[in-house]
Amino acid sequence: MEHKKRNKYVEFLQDNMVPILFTILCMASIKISGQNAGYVITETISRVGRNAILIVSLILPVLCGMGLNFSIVLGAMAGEVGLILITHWSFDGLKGIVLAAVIATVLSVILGTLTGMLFNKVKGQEMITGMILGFFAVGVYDLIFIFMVGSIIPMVNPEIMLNSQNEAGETIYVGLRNTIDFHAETKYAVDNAWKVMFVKFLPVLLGCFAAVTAAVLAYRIVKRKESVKEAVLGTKGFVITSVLLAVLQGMIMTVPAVKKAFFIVQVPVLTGIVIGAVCLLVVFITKTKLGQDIRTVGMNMQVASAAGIDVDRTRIVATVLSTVIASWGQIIFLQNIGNVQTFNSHEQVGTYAVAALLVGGASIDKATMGQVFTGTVLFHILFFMTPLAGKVLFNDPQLGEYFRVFLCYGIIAISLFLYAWKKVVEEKRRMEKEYQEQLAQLEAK
Amino acid sequence: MTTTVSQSEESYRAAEILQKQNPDKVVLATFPDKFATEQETTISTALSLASDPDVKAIIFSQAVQGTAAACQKIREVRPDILLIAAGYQDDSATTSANCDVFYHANVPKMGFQMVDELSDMGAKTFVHYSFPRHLAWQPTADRLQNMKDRCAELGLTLVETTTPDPMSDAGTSGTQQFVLEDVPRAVDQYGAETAFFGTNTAQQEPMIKCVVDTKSYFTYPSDPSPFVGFPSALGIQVPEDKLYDNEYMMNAISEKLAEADMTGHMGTWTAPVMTLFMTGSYAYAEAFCEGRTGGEKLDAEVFTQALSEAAGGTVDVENITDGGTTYDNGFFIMCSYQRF
Repeated sequence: MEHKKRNKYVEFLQDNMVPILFTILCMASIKISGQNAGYVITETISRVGRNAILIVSLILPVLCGMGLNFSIVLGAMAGEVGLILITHWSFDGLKGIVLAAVIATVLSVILGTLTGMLFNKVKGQEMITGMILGFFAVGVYDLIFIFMVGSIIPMVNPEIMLNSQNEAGETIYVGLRNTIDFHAETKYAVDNAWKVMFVKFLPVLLGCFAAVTAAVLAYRIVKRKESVKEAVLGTKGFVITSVLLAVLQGMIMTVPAVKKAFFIVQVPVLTGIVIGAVCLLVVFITKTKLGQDIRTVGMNMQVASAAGIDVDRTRIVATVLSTVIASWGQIIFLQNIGNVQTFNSHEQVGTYAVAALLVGGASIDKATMGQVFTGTVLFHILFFMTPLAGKVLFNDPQLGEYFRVFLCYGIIAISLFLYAWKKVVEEKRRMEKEYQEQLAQLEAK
Repeated sequence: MTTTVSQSEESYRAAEILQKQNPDKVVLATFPDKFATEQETTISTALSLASDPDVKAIIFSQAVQGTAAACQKIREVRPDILLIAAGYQDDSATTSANCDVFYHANVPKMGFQMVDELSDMGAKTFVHYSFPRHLAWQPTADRLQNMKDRCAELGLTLVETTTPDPMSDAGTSGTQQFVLEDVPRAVDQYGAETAFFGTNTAQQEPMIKCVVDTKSYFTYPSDPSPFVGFPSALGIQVPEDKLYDNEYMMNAISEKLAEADMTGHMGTWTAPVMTLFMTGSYAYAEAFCEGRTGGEKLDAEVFTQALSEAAGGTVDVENITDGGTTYDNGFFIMCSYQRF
């Protein structure tokens, strides 16, 4: 019994090694850097607001057994195209953002379908294909927006385009400028639409979560006649989140230092709602027939195909959804930044989203909403705290920067290694167990 | 806030010296190494500087891509801070709207200066190395246009060559390797009377090396300074006490070039421009903090004076005109030139 219990702890540690390691590093960085809590919390919230959707977009392909979708770079580009177009047309504000999202969705569906078809040709190598596809797409994007815009695609707009002279000495506009600033109403349109102080927002959020949790629990216990334990386990995501929020609320009410830290923090509610809606959409999809198909394909393609599921189609749908969500994510991201680095903003989107998801404890065949948010918070805290911590530690600002690069990517490498190692250990255990069973059978005979 | 050593050593070292001279006035932070794609980190770092109530002015040098976005965020929380973008790389309109003062070497005018010099040196062909990301910045595009115009006037042939972008998957080594291979190739094709120019700092060292080997021509680095490319390309050893000594470096380069029989083939600005970005900005920020600008964030006269003092000679300052718009808070600067 004792032995079994210890095993359980070890297993828990093994399963959550990466998030635990990152939590420790984050805590240490915050402590060493000596930054005030207000700064850390504000930055964390704005980072989560910016990046969450991009990371959520990775979930479906993972469930579908296609690994980490590096090709969300294409979705990000679609989002940028939408934003550039609304800036070109001066169609500003929230309605502009909505239009950009519509354009981006259309483009992403096309790009996602093509990507999905490509992935179907290279089953098993989706990750590396996605990464290379990203590089390729950057090339095509540059070709279009540096050379074709203005020359082949008719478009004139001195505000966002480069001017030069042709042979006849006339001024012509070819190619986009390297930074495109959004118009004042578009900048932060989603973020500033509805801002609320965190201390006022938290009770509402807590209430919502508690109500949903209670409703789901009641449904499970009364309607489905599940035992209390089963019901709680089945909704553990909601239960844990509610409890954590309640603890935070309690601390804000009782501990003055915590209250002070959170007092200046503001929450962009509309961004929050958009993120929540996208998350719910993904969760909803996983509960439908389509979601079941996706999971089945993810578990075993042969079995899925034998069960009458159109494997190729399911994989394409998962890729399209991922690309579309990524394009929305990039729009939310950029409206918060306020301008777009025309030729660079999208380049590393895939890498960072994947890194954050891995840090949350996900792997190439398993990813949950909880891991998305844990990962976003941990990865980004580390991202902006380690340079400051490194600066204090080594007394040299640029070592801080290299320290961050080393730490972030080092740990991603470790997390991939730990994942592989865990697989090997599991395989070994399974073999041992089988061997023991065979032995027992032989003895019985 | 400065770029890391691997991006531009001169900026970083200049900032370091500044901090050593004024330990109680200067705090130093760096842009992310991959600034083009890690804008978020730039914003966070800048905001952490602004969250310190003692910070009165922030100098971005060089103000690589992402600076404008960071300035915008700073202004939301600390509108009182003076924001200076030296050697800016974001678009002029964006930078002008988000920073208090922004300036750069007079990139468009450099086009004229360079071609005039080259024609005087005796070059017949001029090879221009760049890549789309740089050419999507209006002043670089303008400079190329000016070079084309002046080359046509003076009878030189301009050859445009695209190199790999050091910020792309090829990386710095990719672009350097390209230059190492392409300069001898171009000399074979166009003859030794060929001059070279590259828009990226990392290209300068291999270029200078190849130019010396092939006895061709080179006006000056993209960030004109004796410290960019020359020391390592020519193998100049600098004694400890002469580390940042401008005059020493100029003489050393002259000597090395004379040894290689290259006198009259190269030149540079006498004031290292990256250092000037840092020291000049600091002098202006100090003037602002001490109230010499009368509380105004923009005072063109004080700015010109501060730069000239920092450069130790007159600096030609004019307002930036980009795409037909003139910016009151933007300046192009031009320093004196010397041929080796």
